[in-house]
Amino acid sequence: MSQITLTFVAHQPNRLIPYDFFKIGEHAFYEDDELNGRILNEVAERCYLPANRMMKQLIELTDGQFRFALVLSGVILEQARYHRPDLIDSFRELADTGCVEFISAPYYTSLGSIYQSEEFEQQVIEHCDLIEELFDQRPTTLWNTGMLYSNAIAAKAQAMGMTGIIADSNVLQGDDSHCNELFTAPLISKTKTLVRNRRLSNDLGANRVDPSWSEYPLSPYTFADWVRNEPGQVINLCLDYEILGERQADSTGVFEFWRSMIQALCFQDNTFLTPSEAVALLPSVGTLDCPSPVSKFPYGTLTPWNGNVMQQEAIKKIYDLEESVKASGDADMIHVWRKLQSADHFTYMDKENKFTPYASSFDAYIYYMNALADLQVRVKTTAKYQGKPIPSNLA
Amino acid sequence: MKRIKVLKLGWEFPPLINGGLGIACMGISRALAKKVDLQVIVPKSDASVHYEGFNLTGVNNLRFEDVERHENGELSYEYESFALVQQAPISLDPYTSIEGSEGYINFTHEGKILFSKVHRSDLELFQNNDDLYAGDLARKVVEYSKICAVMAQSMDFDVVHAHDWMTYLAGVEVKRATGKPLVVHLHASQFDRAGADARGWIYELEKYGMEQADAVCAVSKYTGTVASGHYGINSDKIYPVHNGADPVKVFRGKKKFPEKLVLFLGRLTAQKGPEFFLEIAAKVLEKTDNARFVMAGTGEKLRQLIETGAFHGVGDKFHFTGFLNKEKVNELLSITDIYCMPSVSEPFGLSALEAAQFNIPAVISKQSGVAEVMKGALKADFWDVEMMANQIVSLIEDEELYAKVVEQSTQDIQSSTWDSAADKVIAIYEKLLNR
Repeated sequence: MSQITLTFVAHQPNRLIPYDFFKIGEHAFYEDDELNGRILNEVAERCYLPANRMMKQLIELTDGQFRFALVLSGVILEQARYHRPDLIDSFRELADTGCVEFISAPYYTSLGSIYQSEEFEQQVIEHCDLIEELFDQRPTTLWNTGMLYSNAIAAKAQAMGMTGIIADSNVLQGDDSHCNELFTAPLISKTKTLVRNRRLSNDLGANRVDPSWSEYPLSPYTFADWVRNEPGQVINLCLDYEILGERQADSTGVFEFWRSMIQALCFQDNTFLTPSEAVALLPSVGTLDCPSPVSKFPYGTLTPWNGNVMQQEAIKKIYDLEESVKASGDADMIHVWRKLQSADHFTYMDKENKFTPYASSFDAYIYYMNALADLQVRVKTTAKYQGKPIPSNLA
Repeated sequence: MKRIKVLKLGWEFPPLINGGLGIACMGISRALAKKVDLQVIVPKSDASVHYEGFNLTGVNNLRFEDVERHENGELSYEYESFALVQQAPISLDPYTSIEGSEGYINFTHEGKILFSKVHRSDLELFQNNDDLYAGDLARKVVEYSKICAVMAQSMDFDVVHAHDWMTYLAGVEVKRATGKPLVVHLHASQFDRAGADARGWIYELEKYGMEQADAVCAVSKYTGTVASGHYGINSDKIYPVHNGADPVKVFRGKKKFPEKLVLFLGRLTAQKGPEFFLEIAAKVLEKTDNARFVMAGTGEKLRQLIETGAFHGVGDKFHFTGFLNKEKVNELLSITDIYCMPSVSEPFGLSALEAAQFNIPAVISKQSGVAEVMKGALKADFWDVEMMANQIVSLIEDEELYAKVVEQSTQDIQSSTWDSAADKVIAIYEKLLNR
C-alpha cells in the first residue's frame, strides 16, 4: 500500500501575433486572441472538460477516496474567463467536491523566482487571490513555473505562508531512491518539499504512448502494482493536465486507462492525499540542499528558457522595464508587462523547441522584442503625459 | 547626325525582375532611347509591356522556329567564346558571396554538340516561371549568349552594350559574330560580392568580358578602380558613368514612436556591411537613447545578425523587418530620420540617392560609388564604426547639421539623373565609332 498525491498542471500560453516593426507605437494588443481562443476551445473540448467530468466521477465513485490537486495558471484562467466561462464552472464543480486542492503558482507563469524575487511574490499572491475568488480556497502549496526550485525559492515559499512546495526529483541529483520522501530546505521549518516522482510521472506521460518503450503497451493494473510496491512515504505524481485527451488522444485509450488505474489504486487500499494533506500528515525525513535553481527539464537545466542570447536579451529587457512600468501606476500596463514575462515566450525562442506557433525561434524573438519596444514607447509616452520624469533606464 | 543604333544586352528588367540591375538597365535604356535607336534583348520579358522609345525582346518570347531559321541561314557562324568555357558550376547566385562549387558540368566532350546549335530545350530554359537565377544559371548564361549571337546577325546596330557578367559572354559573342564594338557595363563585380580574393567562374567571365570589350562603363570611379586594380583592365578604356535616380513620389509618414529612426536597407550579405551597422547601433545607443534602428531586407546573414543584436543588448532598439516590398520600403523611408549605408564595397548604392529624395540625410561608407556624387552625405570608412556612430549621434543631436546635410543632398540628387548618365554613354559610343 502506498500514499499518493496526484497533481495536474493546466496552462495555455498567450501566443503573440506576428508583431512586426510597423506595429510599434500603433498596435497595443500583442496577443493573438483569435488563435489563443481557438486553441483553448479545442483543448477544452478534447481535454479539460472530459477530464474534469472523469475526475468528478472518480471522486464520487470512490466516495472521496480519490483526491487530487490542480495547478491552473493565471493565464489559462484569464483565457477561460474570456473565451470559455463554462470551463471555470467545470473546475468549480471539482472544487465543490472538497476533494480537489488548488495549488498556487506565479500567476503569469513567469521566471520571477529567478530574476525578480519581489515580482515572483506578487504574482503568487495575485494567483492565490484569483483562486480564492473563483474556488473559495486559499492555496497553501506552491508549484513554481517549470517546477523551478532552490533553497531560496523554498525560503520564499515559507515567507509567503506556504506549507508545501513541489520540486522535481531532478533536485536529488540523479539519485531517485529517496524521491518518495518529504524534505525541508536548509533552515526552513514551516514548508515541506514534496518531490515529484519523475520516473512514474513520465511513464504516465510520454512513455505510455511510446511504442518503443519496453513496457508498451502499459496496463493500468501493472502501473497500479508499481505504485503499490514503491517504497517511501508518499508518491508524488505530477503531470500536465493536457495529457488527458490532448497530448494523448482519446483514441489511445487515455481516459479508460486513467479510470481503471485510479479505481485499481483505490481498490488496493492505497491512499490518495492532496499535497497539503501530505505535508500536514507526514514528517520531513531530512534536509534537502539545493543551492541553485533546478527545473523539471532534463538534468534540471534552465536552458530551454535562457540558453541562448535571444532569450537572455528578451528576459533582461522585460525585467529592466519593471521600475518604469510600476511607476506609471497604470494597472493595465502593469498587467500587459507581466503577461510578457510568461516563460512560454522564452521557450519559443529556443531553437530546439518544436512546439511553437512561430516559423522559427528567430521570429518568436523578433515579434516579442517588437512588442516589448511598443510597451517601452507606451511607458515613455505615459510618463511624459503624466509629467513624471522619464525613468532613467528609458530616458 | 544620324542616330547611333545600339543593341543592349540585359539580364534583369522590370516589371518582371526588379533587382537593382534591372532598375538601372531600365533607367539608362529610357534615357538613351531619347537619343539613340535602341533594341534590348533580355532573357525574360513580359510581352504585354511596352516601353517608350525602344524595343525589348525577351528570349522567353522567341519562337524556336525563328531562332532556327536565323541559325541555319546564310549567316551561319561558329560560336567562338564557348571554347573558353571549359566548365561551369551549376548553382550560381550573383547576389550571394558564395559560388556554388558542387556539380560542375564538364563541357569539354559534349561541348561541341551543346554549343553548336540552339535547341528547343534551350529556349525553354527561359520560358518557365522559375526565378531567372534558379537552377543551372551557367547554362542559361551560355544559351543566352548563343541566342543573342544568332539574333544579332540579322539585326541592324552599330554598337553592342552588355550589362554585368551574365551578359558579357553574349556581348563578346555578338562582337565576334558581327564585328561591332562592344561596351560592357560594370554594375557590380564579384570583388564587391565576395571580396578581394574572389575567383571562380563569375570572376573569370567578368575579366574576360572586360578584356574583350572596347570600353568599360563603371558605375563609379570607385568601381573603375576595382576593374583596373582587381581585374587588370586597362584604365584607358574604363569610363565612370554614375547611375541616376528616377524621381519617386515622396511623402512623409507619421512615426509612431519618439526616437529618431536610423535605417539600413539592403541584402543582408557581407558586402553590405550589416554587421557594421549593428556595431554602429550599439555605439550610438551607448551615447543616446533617442534612436531606434531598423534593418530592412533579408539574406544569408539574417539569423546570425539577430543573435548578434541580442548579444550586443540592443534587441529592444534594433528591429528586423525581413524582406519588404517597394511599397513598404517607401513607407519606411517616409518615417526614416537617418539613412546608413556601411557597405564594405558598393559599386554605386542607388538606395542612398533614393533616401535623399525622401530628404533623409545619409551616413555612407567611403567604399561606395554614391559617395562620389553625394557631396552632402557624411562619410567614413566602412570599418570605422566609431566615426559613423559619431556622425549619426551628431545628426540626432545637431539640428543645424541635419538641415545642412539634407539641403546639400537635395542639390546632389538634382544632378544625378539618367539623362546625364546617358549622355556620358553616348559620348563613349561616339568615340568608339569615331563620330
